[in-house]
Amino acid sequence: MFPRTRSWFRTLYRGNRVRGEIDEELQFHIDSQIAEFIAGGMPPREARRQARILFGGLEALREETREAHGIAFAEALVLDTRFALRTIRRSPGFAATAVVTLGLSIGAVATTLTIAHALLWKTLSVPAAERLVEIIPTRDHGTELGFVSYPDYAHFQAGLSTVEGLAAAYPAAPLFVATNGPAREMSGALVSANFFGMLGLRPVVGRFFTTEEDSVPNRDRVAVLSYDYWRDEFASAPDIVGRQLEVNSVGFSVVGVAPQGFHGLSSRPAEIYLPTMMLPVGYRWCSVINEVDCTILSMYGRLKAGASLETAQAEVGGLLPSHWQGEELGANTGAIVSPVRGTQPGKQERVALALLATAAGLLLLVCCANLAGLLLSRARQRSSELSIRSSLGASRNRLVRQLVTESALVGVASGALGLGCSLGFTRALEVMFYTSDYVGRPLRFDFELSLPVCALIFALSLAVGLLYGSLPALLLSNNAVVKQANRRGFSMATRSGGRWLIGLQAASAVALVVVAGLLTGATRDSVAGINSDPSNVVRIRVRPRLIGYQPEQAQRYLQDVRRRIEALPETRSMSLLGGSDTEHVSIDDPYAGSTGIGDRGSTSELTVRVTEIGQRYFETLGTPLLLGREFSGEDRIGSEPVVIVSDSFVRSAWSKGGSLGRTIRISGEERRVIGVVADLQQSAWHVEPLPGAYIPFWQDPNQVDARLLVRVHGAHDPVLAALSKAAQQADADVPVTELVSMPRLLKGSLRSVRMGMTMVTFAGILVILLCAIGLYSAITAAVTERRREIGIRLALGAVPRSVVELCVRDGLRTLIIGIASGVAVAAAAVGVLRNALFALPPANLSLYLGASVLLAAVGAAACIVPARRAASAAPVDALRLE
Amino acid sequence: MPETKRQLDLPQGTLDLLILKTVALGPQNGWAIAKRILQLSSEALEVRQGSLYPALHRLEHRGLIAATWGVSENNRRARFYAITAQGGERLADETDRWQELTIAVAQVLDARA
Repeated sequence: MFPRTRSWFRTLYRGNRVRGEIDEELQFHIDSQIAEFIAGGMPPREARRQARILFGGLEALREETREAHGIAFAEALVLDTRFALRTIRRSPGFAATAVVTLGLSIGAVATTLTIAHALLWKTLSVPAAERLVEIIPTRDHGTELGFVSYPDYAHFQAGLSTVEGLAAAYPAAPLFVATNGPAREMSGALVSANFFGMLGLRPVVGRFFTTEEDSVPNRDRVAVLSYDYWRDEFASAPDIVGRQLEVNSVGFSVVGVAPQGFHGLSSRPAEIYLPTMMLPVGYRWCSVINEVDCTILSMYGRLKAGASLETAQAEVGGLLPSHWQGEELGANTGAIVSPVRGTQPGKQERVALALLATAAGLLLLVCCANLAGLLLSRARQRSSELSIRSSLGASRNRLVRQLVTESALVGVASGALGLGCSLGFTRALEVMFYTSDYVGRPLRFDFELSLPVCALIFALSLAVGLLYGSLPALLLSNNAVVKQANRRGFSMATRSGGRWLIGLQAASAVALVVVAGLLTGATRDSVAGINSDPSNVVRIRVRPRLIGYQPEQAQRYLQDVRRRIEALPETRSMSLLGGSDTEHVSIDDPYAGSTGIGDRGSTSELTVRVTEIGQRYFETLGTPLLLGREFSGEDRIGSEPVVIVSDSFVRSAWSKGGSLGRTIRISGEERRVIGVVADLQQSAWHVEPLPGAYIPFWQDPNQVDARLLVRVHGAHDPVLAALSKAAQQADADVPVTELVSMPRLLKGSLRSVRMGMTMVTFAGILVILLCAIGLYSAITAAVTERRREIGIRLALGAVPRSVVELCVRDGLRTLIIGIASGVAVAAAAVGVLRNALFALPPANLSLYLGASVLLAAVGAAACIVPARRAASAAPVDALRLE
Repeated sequence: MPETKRQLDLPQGTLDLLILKTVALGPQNGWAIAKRILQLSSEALEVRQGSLYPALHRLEHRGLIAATWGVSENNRRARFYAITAQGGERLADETDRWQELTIAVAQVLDARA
């Protein structure tokens, strides 16, 4: 195809010359013919005449020859583009509206793609990253993903032949690091000696770990720093090797620095790396790394040349450790091989991505519909132009091509604008949701606009341009339409098309507004607290376990901290919060299935969320106690085991009534119910809500770490500082972390839902705007068409008001059908969403009503303006225009 | 025009073949190509200008022939067409196919009942 392309380019650059050459060549032929005739004895004048006759239509031949040469296409493209630019310049308002609305929509799509790319598909920035795989154990019949112990890792490493360099890592360890002064919380990673080598990384300073350094538990206290940490904390000191750090109160010496741009394998950037043999420093639940039940490691490796994910998966399936046979809850039973891509978002984040994609896609669709509608509205104006061009000899294809060129041009311009917008949108979403986690620890996501996204967006904008342009183009160039240029016939064709388009926009607007309203309301309610008042509650976490405290010492510390905080003037009430876990609880129900007195009833099991709490917990949270009492100082080790249950617990366990004084068994221990409390929300929306059971923090002799919940007077930040100080006065060595106010914590836990909500709201606002624009231009076009009729009506004495009504009624009829179908779509969307996010309440009637009224009001306003204008025109003017 | 011989219509696609063949004999301008075809066919095939020039430019666009400006016998600037390597291959292919086709058609037409 090369010569062909070359000849097009030649034409583009030297079009006139090529045209001249063709003319000269044809002239030569004619002259030769004349010469031949003259030589044959014909008089010159007659010879010239005969030659011309013989040659036929010179102009047509010229055109045909040029077409054959490939000129016509290239030339037409240039001409079309030039003409399109001229058309656009003639009505800049239309073009600007098109480019801006389409640009914003494409920006939303580009933002979604960029975020999805970063979260789902992006490979690490290390050599040959596409061969990296993670071997992930599965639990609970494959529904949950898990981690492995060091012996399991060693087993896989020795046995695998399809994956090479299998490395183990605990990628996000909480480390409190002191260099010179107080310890600071950082994110670290514990990695096997071959980790950096497997990734193909080289140290910028010093070296990585040797195999020897990662072979004996708790012996080699060596650390590798991340580039950023080395640069920020040590000013890129060249003599960094050999410096001492204290990590969770254990001394380490630096042996090297990782390369720039490598931030570990988690979205929480690792600042410091330790060998896996030192794991207990970062994970105090294990005292020695090679315990079989210390399952905390992830495994990463590279597919060998020739191996595929499938062959690796098959091999891993046959290589499961023999003790993985058990089927108990939370134990590893299988393993999958997964490429190392993106950040492996959780379900809630996936739901948010789906929301983002749906909103952006819908926005783009509506935008296309809107633009097609706008083009149709302009059709009447264009139809005379097109029929003139058609009668001057433009072919139908040529007309279509020209219209399509116009819309393609708009498409490309909006693509460029969209990419620009997406830079801003992505940055905004990143700052709002992705720069730090819910307690303010830094996160790192790579939301750079990538080349594949750019290419995709460019193709998309071109396609959208062609798509929205082709419908009116086909309609406009329809021979019959152009030929008769019959305005009335034409307007009928365009108006029924326009109706559909406006209905579609209205329906999407209602659906988006309802979903946006529902999400906004639900997140607001959630942050404001459901059955609680978190507005003046703050939380901090103390972690004596990280520095190796035993329960006795830790509990003394906790009691001390509690007393100090209770003594603070800012404190109104406080409580402790321990662990929280999902457990199966057995319940004796004396009434269930009973037929009479004396029946022993039956035992049933209930899956509940069991949480350890201290005294005054519900008072601190502002949660109403429905029956009985809270835990007191008397509920401790040795006293009667007790439990407080939630309202929903009572409803599922004892449907026939009675709760106080009943006993339930949690982890094999019988506990008496002493209180019933209102249901508290779960922080994660995607998990099916469970009934709650609360047990006393101090009835567990093994307590070490705790979170402290404090209801305070005054502003959060100074209070948090005061709380932290009080904790440190009790023991300066114990790490104090996760200082956060409850509203912020709740907001943070809904991060992804709120991100989805932001996009849906943005799309909703834009779609309403588009709807208004669409209706406005459709009514304007309709009014223009009926100017004559309106003029006659006015001349015959109609009141302007009745004319306005006539026009508005037409627009509103379409709108109402759209709104009605929008309500149905919204109801379906809410249903789908509530299946994914359990905490989402049903949308109430007022939401649907509000969305409908809002849209109807905006629509009516958009109709009234052009209708008024038409009605206020002098009848004579209206008639004269025809 | 001498009306001595019956003029034949060219079947579809054969014009390209004739042009390629003529040009393969040596670079020629459009006028000379038409004359040469007339002469070689014993005046049976007259190529009309209306199809000659579009065909020439089409073949050039496809890279089967190449054009240069040269000087004609009567000392005028004229466009001369020469066959390209690609054109030579195409000519060989098309010639074979044409011969197979004519033999096959002749066989059918010669068949006796």
